[in-house]
Amino acid sequence: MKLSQRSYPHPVVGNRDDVPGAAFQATVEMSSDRENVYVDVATKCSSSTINQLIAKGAAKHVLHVECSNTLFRRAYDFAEPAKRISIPAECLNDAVEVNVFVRATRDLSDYAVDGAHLDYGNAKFQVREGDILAVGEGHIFHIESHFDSLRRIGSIMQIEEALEDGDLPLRVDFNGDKIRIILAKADFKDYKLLKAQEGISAALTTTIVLPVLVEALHFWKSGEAGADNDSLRWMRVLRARITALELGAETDNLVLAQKLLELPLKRALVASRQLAEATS
Amino acid sequence: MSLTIFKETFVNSLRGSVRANLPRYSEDGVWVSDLGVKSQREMETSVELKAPLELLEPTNGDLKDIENAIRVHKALPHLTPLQARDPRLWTRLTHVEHWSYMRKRWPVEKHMKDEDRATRFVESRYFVTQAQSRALLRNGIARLWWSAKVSHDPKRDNPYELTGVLLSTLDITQQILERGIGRAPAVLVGFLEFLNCNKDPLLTGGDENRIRIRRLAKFLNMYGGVCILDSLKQGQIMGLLEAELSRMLNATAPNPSAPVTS
Repeated sequence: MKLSQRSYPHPVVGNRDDVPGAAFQATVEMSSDRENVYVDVATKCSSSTINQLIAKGAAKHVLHVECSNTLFRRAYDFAEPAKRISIPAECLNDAVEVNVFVRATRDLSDYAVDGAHLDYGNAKFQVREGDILAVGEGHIFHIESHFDSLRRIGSIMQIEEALEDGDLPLRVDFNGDKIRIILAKADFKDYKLLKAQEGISAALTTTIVLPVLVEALHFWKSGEAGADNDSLRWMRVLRARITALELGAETDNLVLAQKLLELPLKRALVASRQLAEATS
Repeated sequence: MSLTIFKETFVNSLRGSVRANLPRYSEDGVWVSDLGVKSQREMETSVELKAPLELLEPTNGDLKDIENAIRVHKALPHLTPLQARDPRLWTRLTHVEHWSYMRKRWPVEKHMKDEDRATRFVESRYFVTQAQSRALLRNGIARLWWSAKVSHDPKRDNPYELTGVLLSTLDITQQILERGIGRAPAVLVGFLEFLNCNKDPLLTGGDENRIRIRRLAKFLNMYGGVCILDSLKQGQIMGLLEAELSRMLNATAPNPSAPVTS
């Protein structure tokens, strides 16, 4: 939402000189990983009227995010002064407009703000649910995706179903061009069902791919594949990835695997939290 | 079957040559495949079609926009917003797979008397010229997908019921999608549902209805200047529109107490 200069039907904290006796500030920082864009917002408001309304639930902060490039527009409510919002990275690209407001969460009759401009005198206003009560300075961020979302990416791992019946532990075969991960039949069935579910795939990566990659790094570095340890395709892909990310000096395989997978635990926890919030 | 798209350098080169290629945009056969080497022109993607993507060609004034929007969306329901804003995808579909549809739906001939106008027309309908959403809503195929995407409601018996409302006239599509409110899901669905519930005064065609829809869109846009519309529920959006429509209808209704002049 592009905020132009405007006059509101009631005094709005942070809008021109509507309320010279109070200020509303919002600092916004944006960061991202492969899965999500994180917006960290911290607000500060010196208006006792607004702070009281928030404290009793009659108003809330709103983080409004809009990206014209992907037709994305969402408003995120929060009562606390600071909040981290995560947005799937696939929803944002290029210029992203971020605005922070305080809005009424219900109709308010006889609304007046402490410290309002003298011109308002003793006027009281009828405020409706959703109306803006305070406005912070707008921000524009530029998100540039570092991967091509349409390009076919050859994976170095392939997940397969075990031939045998029964409950079996996950097994791995490092001797092909791809690393073969073999799951018990029932596990494979669940995996196929769950991998397409938004919010679950990140947790699956942590559960299945992370330990296998740690094992693969150990297998590769310790030379079990023979002297020519670039003989298999997955090794060459891994080497290229380590070089591209400048991770050649990392000796701890667990740390290296997590960096290669772009902190899968963090992504799994964020996705799980989103899932929990969506279902609560 | 996976989707093939153009490479970025090829799209840029093709777009830079629109004026020079204008006569070819009147040809019935696909000609882009003759340009350059295949490996430099196109690449395969990881995107699989979920259903065959065949479009109906417009006939006798029936543009088939609604049917085709549903077809495009059913074939590619899983595209992410990032993938669905990619000019390489839509430029490929307009120039190769759906060239025949594009020739019928967006023929360049009627603009050919003015070369500048014809160039702009081809750029807007056959390419995605800017980073803004407006460009996506002008491209001949992207607009079908996006219209279905933003109006698709899986909770309905007919998930594409509101797609039919959105695409019922070009004016509605523009009034809603080309304003910011078109990007706010609850606002958009509320607006379309309101139109759907008020077919008689709003969707039966004619200038009067068109003006009413424009005024409602304008009203909602202005209301959004003081209120976070995105925070309201669909029913509240419909309530706002109901009150505004009543005001409009009352303002235009004949006043029975007014003196009769001869």
